[in-house]
Amino acid sequence: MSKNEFLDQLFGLLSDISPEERDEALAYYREYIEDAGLENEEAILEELGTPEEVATEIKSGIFNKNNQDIDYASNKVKNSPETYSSNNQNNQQENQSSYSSSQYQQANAPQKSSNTALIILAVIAAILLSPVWLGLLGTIFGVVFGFFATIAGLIFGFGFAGLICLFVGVILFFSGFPTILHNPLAGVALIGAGLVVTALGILFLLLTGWFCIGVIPWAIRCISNLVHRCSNRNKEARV
Amino acid sequence: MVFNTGSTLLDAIVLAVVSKDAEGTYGYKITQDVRDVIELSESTLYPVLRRLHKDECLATYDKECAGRNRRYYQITDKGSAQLQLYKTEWISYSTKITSVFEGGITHE
Repeated sequence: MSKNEFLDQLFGLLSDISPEERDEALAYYREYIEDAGLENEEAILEELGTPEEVATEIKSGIFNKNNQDIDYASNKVKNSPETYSSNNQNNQQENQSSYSSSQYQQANAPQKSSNTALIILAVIAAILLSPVWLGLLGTIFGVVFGFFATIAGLIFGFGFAGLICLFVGVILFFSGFPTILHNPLAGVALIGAGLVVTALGILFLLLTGWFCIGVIPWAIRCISNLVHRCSNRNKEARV
Repeated sequence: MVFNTGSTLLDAIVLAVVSKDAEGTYGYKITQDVRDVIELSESTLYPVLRRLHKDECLATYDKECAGRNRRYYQITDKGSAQLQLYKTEWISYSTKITSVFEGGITHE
């Protein structure tokens, strides 16, 4: 059989596939035979098999899109002296199992797109629910700010009161001494009052100090705990 | 050769052979290169090349050569990525098989 006879027969056998597919296949085999060289034409035509076999192979590639496993070495195995009798029987099974890996790959693709869809949904939900979470955020901010303002006010109040008491106490104490000379009773009362007021001032200042050292770290710990718990809950809600 | 070459492995071999030529290579040469490695009938590769082209793993262009047309195949980015995946899979697969042959894996 010559090259042209082979291709003519192949053309006839491929009449049931689309003209584009047929032209592509014929062009491929024409080039293939020409690339093998004139001197090898006989050998290559024999190697390729009959036009019927080649046509079957081409069609199996077009029609069995999902069952791509063909016994590729079949021609060789049949002619090979080392052929194992069990080989051909097992082909069907082996081909099926080797296909499973490509199925697995294809299964990965839709998962990716659904992930993207999930993110888009989450963003839309976040926008739609913005009155809710913006309000919550505002409330939390207000509470935290109020808490700090209260503490600052207390520290400022106690500290200021303490300082004034100390100042007044010292003035009363020292103004008692000149008074003692002409009015001993009033002098002693002034000195006593000065001491009491100074003691009050010291008490207030101690309270302020205790507030700074003890209460503020405690408050900060409380708030950070609160924030942590809130952010954790947010994360859970997102998942 | 007593082992069969499944379609996935054949895809990987074809992609590897085509990727060797940056300029691209043609059907007859691909077939001969693949046949250096595995047993394969001469007519087998057409459906494989056609499918890899359809799946955009291979790109084609036609070039005039000695007064006639010749279709060249080149690997695409998608094809390279696929080949990389096959290479990784092959290493893990062949390592396991080798280790079981050499008695490396034992079960209690």
